[in-house]
Amino acid sequence: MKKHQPKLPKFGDWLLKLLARYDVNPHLRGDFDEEFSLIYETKGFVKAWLRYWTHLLRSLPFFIKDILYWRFVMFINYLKTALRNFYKNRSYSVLNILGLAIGMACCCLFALWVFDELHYDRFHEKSERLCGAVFDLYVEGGKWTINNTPALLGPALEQEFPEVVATTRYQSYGQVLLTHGETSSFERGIYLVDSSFLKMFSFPLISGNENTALSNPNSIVISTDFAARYFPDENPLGKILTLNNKHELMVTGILKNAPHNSSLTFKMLMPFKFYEGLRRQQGDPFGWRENRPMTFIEIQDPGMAEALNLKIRNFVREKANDDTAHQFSTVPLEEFRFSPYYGGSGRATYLSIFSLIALFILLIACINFMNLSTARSANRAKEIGMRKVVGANRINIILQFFGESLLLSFTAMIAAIILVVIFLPTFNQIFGKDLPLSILGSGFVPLVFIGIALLAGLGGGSYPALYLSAFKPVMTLKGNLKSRGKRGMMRKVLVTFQFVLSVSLIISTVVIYRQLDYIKDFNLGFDKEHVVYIPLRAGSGESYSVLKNKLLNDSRILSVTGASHLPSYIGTNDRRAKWDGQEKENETLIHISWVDYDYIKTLKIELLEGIDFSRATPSARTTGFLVNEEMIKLMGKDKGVGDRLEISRVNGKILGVMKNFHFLPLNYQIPPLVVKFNDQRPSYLITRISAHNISASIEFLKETWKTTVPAYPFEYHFLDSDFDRMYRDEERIGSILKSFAFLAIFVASLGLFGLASFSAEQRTKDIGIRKILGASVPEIVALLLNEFMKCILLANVIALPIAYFIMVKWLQNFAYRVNLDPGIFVFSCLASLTIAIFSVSYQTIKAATANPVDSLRYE
Amino acid sequence: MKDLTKIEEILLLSIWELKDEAYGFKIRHHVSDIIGKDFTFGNLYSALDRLTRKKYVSKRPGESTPQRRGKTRMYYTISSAGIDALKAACALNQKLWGALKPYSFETKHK
Repeated sequence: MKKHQPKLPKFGDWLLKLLARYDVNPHLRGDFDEEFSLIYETKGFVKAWLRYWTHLLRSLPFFIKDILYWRFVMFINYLKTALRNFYKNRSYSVLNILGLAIGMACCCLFALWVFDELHYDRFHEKSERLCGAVFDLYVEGGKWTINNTPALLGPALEQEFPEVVATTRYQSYGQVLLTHGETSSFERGIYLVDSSFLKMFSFPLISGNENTALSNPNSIVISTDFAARYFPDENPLGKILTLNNKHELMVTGILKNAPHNSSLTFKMLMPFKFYEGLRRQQGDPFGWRENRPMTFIEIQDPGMAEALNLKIRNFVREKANDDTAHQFSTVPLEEFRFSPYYGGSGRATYLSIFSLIALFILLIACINFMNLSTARSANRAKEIGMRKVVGANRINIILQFFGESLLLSFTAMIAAIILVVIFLPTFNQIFGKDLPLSILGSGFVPLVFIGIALLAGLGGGSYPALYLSAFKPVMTLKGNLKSRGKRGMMRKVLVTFQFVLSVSLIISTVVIYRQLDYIKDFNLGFDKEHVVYIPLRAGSGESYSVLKNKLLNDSRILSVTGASHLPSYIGTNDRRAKWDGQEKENETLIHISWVDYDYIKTLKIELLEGIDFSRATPSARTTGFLVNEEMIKLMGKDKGVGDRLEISRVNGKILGVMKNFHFLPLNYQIPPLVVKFNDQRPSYLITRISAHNISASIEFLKETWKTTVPAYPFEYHFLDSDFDRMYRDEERIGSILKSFAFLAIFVASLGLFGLASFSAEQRTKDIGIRKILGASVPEIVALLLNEFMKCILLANVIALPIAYFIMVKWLQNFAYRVNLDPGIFVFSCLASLTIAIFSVSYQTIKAATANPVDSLRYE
Repeated sequence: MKDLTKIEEILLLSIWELKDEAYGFKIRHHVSDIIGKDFTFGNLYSALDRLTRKKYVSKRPGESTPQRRGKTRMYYTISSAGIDALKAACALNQKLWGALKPYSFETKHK
């Protein structure tokens, strides 16, 4: 008699089901059970159970080996399928990878930029404890933010407040002449600092002692670049440099060149004491109401900055005996880069705008990637059906498609890295940056790359992986996937969105370039062509009249004049003005410039009435003024030549009225201007040279300079090129936007191209049948184009108001601006349509001209 | 044709010998008896899989018994290619062993 049916182990069976290969799975488990039953009958449950488990555990290695083996085989299969698919649709794959790579590279360059900007001034050991002293200056009609402080502030704070560990002043010494032996040139970037400077900031010295380098007033610390130029074959330490042909300074230290991400940019340091001594000699000591140097403060603990600020605010108010206008506060060193006190107010805005645009381009690229991936994978529904029939479950399919999509996106990532490496120098040039390649490997940058690749990969793979994998195999194999309409809608929305972004960028670029051209060709009121100016620095101004007379002897020099300001920028102004019939005290800022004879002639400024300063009537020199139209408008319409005017407490008469000319950048309206006579030590020698043989004229200028003022190096500029430089920021924005717009439209067109070929392929039969029934080629092309043109037109309709609004805002920065005429918008609309038609036409025409016999036979 | 490994040779011989009774449980016991060690199912089925892929054996699902909780047996039969392989293995063995005298072991181990 048999025993009753044994209780077979359940957990073991479940484990086996999980581990054993599917093709022998039930049989193997059956064998296990049979053995268990056999032992159970003869030896009992415990023995059978033990045998069962020891056996199972001993079989485990084989099962695992088996699993790994088949995983590997399947992986190879997936890889093969993926590669075959890439190859079969190679144009899609290349488009897909290229588009995404461009987007990623673009985004990455900006990530690098942002990363770099955010890391300014972080390299100082004490960066958290250092801050800069600044003032809010409340004046009529607003607040000014300045970083100039009284020179007395630093030492006083050190004395009064125990929380202040150290302070240093930091003041540019302007442009100076430095001489060592034969080498002599004008240098900028020389700064006056206190001896604590090198201890507060981490600017390491290569040689020299940082404790004593700046203690002697007649010492100087120079950068390595500078040392190499002035002392090519000797050790500069202890050598003498001559400043402005007057003072002898001893080199006491050599600085390592400051890192590119430092807000403080200097090439040389000199003790502030030196300047203090000069001022004392001149009998002009520092006062609390004079704001010149910057002051940097090292505090014990960054936490108490707030409380300290309040204390110092009151202290300064008392000292300066000024309870209204000045408001002291501090800015942490790490925030200098974005602080309005240190000229960084616009920086954060540009940073965020450009980053946003970079993200837009990435978005366009990701949309492309998704669109193309989904479009392509619709053709693979059958493959999914087959895989399911032969035993794949949904997880397998999901992993396969995500894997494939990730493979593409990571390929794109590698391509993007290559692009970044190639374009980093260009990028640096456009942005005036100095990002090293090594930044690619530092911090969160690699994570950005990987993150973008992951996101794009998962996004692109989600449709086939999650949507197609859910279908019943029978449905997909029969080929009646009814979902196309809905997905097509989604795709159209995405394409529209891409083009909204692209069209907005195109419009913005066109407007900015129009504005730049407008500014460049603007009639400034003076002739800036063929005008050369020579800055008369330091002592060279004394030789002005000698120089002028020598120059005028030559026929190539048409005229020569001197001036305190360049006609392109006259910044000096004053409010103190009086004239007859004035009703109330003058409130308007009147700009003032001092010029020599022939100013009007050299610059070809139009004189509306009266005369220029003339050698014939020397007395008029001291009492005569030239004014512009705005000044007349200010004084009253009836005023004119001969009327009395007192400006800056100097009394005189109006000698001539000039037509308004733009002596400020075009961001500003023309203010009133008064031009006074002065031929002593002008700041600039301005000369009009003959239009023929310009280089010979320059050569002549140089020769004359060399013989007249040999002690100073020759330096010259063209007024018009100088003028172009004024709009460099705008120019830069323009060129950045241009490349952005180009990239955006390029990537979007890539996507459109891919989608067009996909849709043409999908409709091969449709087109074939239409042709057989008599449709002409243009009709079919129109049919295919129609699908996309609607999207593009809609995109234009959406983009126009957006771009219009943004550009109106931007143009408000300029006092003189182009009109936003509809032509710009029509142009952008037509451009986007043309580009779109161009990118889809190849595929559509190919599809439309195909032989219907071939397309109908195709399956 | 590749040479058979020892375990494949043993398996093929067992399947041949077991004839209609050649399914996992029986084969395992037969092999374990021959080699005098416990030959696990894990080992057995991965070896059987290799033989199947080399087309030396063919398999067909068979009947089930109550002890097997309804899971069917998988029967293995040796194919003509399998027989050829066995013949080749046998020939190789004879060639190897034929040259040696049985007593040579005795002298060696002294």
